[in-house]
Amino acid sequence: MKSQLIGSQAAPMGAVLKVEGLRVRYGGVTAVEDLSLTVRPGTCLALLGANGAGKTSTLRGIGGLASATGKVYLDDRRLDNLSASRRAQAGLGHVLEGRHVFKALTVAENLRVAAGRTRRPSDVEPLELLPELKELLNRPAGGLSGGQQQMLAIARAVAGAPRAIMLDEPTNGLSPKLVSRTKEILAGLRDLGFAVLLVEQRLEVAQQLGADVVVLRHGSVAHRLLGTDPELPDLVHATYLS
Amino acid sequence: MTNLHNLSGAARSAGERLRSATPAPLRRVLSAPIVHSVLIVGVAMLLLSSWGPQSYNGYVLQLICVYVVAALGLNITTGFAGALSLGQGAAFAIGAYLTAVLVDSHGWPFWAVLLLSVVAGLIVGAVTGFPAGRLGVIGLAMMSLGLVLVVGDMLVQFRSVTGGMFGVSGIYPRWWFGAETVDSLWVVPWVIAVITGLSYWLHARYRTSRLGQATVAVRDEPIGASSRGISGYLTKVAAFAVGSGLAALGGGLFSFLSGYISPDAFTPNLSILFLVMVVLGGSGSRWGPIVGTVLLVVIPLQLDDYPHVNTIVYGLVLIVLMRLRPRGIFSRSAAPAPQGLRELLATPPVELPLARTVPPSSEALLELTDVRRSFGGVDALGGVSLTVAPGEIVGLIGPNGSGKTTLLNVVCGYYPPTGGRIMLAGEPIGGLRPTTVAGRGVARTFQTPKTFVGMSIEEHLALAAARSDRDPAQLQACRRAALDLLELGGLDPHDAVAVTRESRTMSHGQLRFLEAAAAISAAPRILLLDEPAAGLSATEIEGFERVVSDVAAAGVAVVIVEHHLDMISRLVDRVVVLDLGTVLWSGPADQLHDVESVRTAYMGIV
Amino acid sequence: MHEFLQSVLVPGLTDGAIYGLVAVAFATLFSTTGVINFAHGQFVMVLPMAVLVAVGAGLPVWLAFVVALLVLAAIALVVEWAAIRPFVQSGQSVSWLLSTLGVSVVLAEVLAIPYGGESRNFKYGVSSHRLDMGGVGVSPAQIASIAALLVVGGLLTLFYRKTRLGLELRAIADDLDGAEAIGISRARASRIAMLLAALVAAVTGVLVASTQPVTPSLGLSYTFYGFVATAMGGMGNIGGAMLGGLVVGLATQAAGVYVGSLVVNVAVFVLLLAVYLVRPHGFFGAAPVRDV
Repeated sequence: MKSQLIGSQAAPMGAVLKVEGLRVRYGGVTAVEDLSLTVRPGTCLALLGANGAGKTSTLRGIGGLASATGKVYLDDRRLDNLSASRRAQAGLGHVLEGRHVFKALTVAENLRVAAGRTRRPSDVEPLELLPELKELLNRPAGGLSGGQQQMLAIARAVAGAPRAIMLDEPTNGLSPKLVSRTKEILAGLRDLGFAVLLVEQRLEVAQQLGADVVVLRHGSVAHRLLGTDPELPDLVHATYLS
Repeated sequence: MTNLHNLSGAARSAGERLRSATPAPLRRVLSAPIVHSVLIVGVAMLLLSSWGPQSYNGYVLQLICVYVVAALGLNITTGFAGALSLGQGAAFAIGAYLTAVLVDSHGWPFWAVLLLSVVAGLIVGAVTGFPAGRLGVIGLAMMSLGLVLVVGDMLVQFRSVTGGMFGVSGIYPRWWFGAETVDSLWVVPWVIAVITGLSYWLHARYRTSRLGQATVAVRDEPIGASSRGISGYLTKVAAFAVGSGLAALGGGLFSFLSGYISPDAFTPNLSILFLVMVVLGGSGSRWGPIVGTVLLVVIPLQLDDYPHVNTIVYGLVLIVLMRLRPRGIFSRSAAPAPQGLRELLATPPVELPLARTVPPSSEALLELTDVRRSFGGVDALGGVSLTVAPGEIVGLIGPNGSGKTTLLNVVCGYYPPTGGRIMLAGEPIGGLRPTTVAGRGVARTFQTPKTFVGMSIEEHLALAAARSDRDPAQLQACRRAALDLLELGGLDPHDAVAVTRESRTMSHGQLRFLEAAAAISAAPRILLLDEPAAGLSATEIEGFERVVSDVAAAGVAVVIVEHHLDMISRLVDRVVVLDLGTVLWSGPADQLHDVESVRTAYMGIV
Repeated sequence: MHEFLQSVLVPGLTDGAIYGLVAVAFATLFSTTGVINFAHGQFVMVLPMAVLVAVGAGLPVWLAFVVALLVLAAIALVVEWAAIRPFVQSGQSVSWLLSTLGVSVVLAEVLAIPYGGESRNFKYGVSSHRLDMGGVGVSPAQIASIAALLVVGGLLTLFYRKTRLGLELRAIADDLDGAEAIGISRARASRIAMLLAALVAAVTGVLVASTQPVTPSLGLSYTFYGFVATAMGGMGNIGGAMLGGLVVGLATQAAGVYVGSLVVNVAVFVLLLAVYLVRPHGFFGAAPVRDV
């Protein structure tokens, strides 16, 4: 399966995503304080936490969509002095919360516009990773169901030939069947060698992906552990309720 | 850029320290609009008497006064109501021409013609503003631009009346219809000065009136305003009307000042000039229009020797302002509203915690039957039924996307239900507008606090009008609860200067407490809280819980949407769990953790 | 019938084509940036004025046009940086309205410097000499206006649908965050949209100058009429803008002929009112879903 998806280039696909001392502020409020994390290629790191803990702010800060201080590295390349679009061009894929597909464009156009922004050849064929989109190519993205839009959002990020991918609550509002499918896709991304940074509310996704876990609480790191750790559910429960 | 911020921040705290230092009675006198008005008249007449009314300086001073009147009017429209009007020059022209023609051809006395000018301005303003309900900011701005073009046309076309390109001359004051014109050169200056003072007073009182407070609330946060029963439409029409009325008045005064007018004086650039005056001085502030006018009359006069530079400077000022300091010189938008806290502070203390004086009644206050709401074929709510009784606290929980906030929005009237029935105290409220629903005693807080950035704490409280049919004990309890919330949020209601701070300067947590305090102080029948604990510390949440308990004990029904399950289990009488738009389970809080389906759906633990 | 054709239909459509071009420029900029350039009327006047100045300074006509185009492009880029980019899709309409209003004031005044605001004849455009076409008098300039509207509208539509760049601009218009997250630069998109609008302004300027003397103060009327046309067509909709322009043209011409020249602006005013009261999002625009 892997060999079908990877292009002729055997070069390593993923890069190390490293964040140091991230601080994200909105107006007078500090949403994230002194956050550091590292995601290695071929692994998945899950960012868990209650609503308002700062998960989305963290991703937006790393991605450049929110004003932030602190260092962000993709391998050796520093990203934090670049605009959001330049970070994407440098290889930081970002699947936003709420998908944000281009509703007036067709599925094919969504993929095409993403592929056009990178000078790297795409190592992974998005449609091989997400074949369910093949029959939807000419449909306007606004007419897709929530689950289909989620698939498209992921495919679109992959089309941009990223080295690391950040996904914000990809299972939000999906039926259990689609949640499983999404987990499959995330595992696929990880196995292909991408560094995957995942924000989730659902514990099980982190557990079943065997991800490293960082638990956020009120904008700072409360716990770091493995997804397979048996303590995880109780720890998360406790942070949600405090 | 940061230096500008620091400077204004320093100025603000210096201002606050100064205000704290002056004794209260003196502070009241010094800030009373009538005192300022008298001061304005006094200073103007003093300067005029030393320069002489016919001198160049005297003319400039009177011109400033005339423009100030129009600028004050525009500040009401654009500053208070946030409706960008490009037509202030048109209303000014209408007033000027009406005055000129009636005086020159029909011998009207000055007081009658100025009065008529005001009325004409009010009508023109109301006509421009009446589509405000359907137009956004851009639409209204363009409508007012159209007005300028139309009026400009009419001035030239109605040659027989307006004298076309030749204009009208012979504009002199009289005391009565057809009488001889007055000899004294002091009548016009006095009239101008007094009217300027009066306009300032009107402008200040407009802002502090209930209409003015409602206008600013709608400008800052229309949804928050509607959730308090404040409808936006009338405030905008009124703002346009009064703004144009003042412009026309200024135009009339201009006619008397100049003695001769022609269409040249009323180009679209005049409208733009008024706009720059207001924006530069500080849109929505009390002193902004005056300072802006003075700067934009005096400075360009120094540049008069260099053609074109004047106008280019106006344009550049606008561009630079929008980039660097969009709020202008005087950026303070909040106005005094001492009545806001007065009633609250006068409430006698209540024993805490309140014993349950009103037992949870069995008769439902809010009743939802099979309520549905779909968006584009997707069911956000697929048939929700629940009831809430007076004094009961119901917790509404569920995973993201389960429909909790949609449910609140449908109850409040932001979306009509696509199916089912909603009854409040036996009367159907499904499909009613949010302002109507709020008027029936439904109060609400939002996930992101919908407070008004340009209003102070006391103004927020002044906006809430308690219903007259409230049980006095309940009213008392609600007022105490509101005070408690303010204190919990670190917003000391007893500090007379701190309560005048604009909510723009407050932290997220403080805004939560302010929004909740304002909602409760209106003594609602039912209180809907949307994720009130998000972003609050453990101690803050504890305090919040106490207040909500007290409010419920006084007989207010409470629905609280939350993710903090611990808070839910401590606080509520009953929990309703939503998932994918329907009720998954309903029952006492302590049973929540045992229910298998809830654990799977909500906590994702397999 | 002949009367109708000669004095209402032909001038109405050709004037309408000009308004349509202004509206198309508005739509182009608005769809990408969410900003209506209040100074567009002045942009239209820049090219003919610059050509007049260049020719007056001794340049051959073809070079004057080149220089004028470059000047227009430079002004467009400066204005985009100073007055538009800070507000791209920010929703703060008051800010960009005032900002572009400021630009219009500055530009109108600058345009008045060369000839003191007096109108000048432009000899380098399309001939406005009336030809007889089947009993109706039509000038090449009038034919050119309609042709220009169709060509510009067609080219822009092709651009958006078929080119990679057009696709990117549509993406930015659709979802700003999503576009940035896949590497589309908002600054670049904003600049390109502005240059496109300026290009349309250049074409419009030549056509306007071909049929009437060049006056800096004409700008405001075109801005207003063009906006009404855009509003009718649904903001950001190119086809709608074209149709809206033709409607405005016919309405103003009919009003002027059958009632009187006084009523012309009133007619446009009433049109705008009608749009907002009957169908606020335009006749071809999609109704927005409100977010609470």
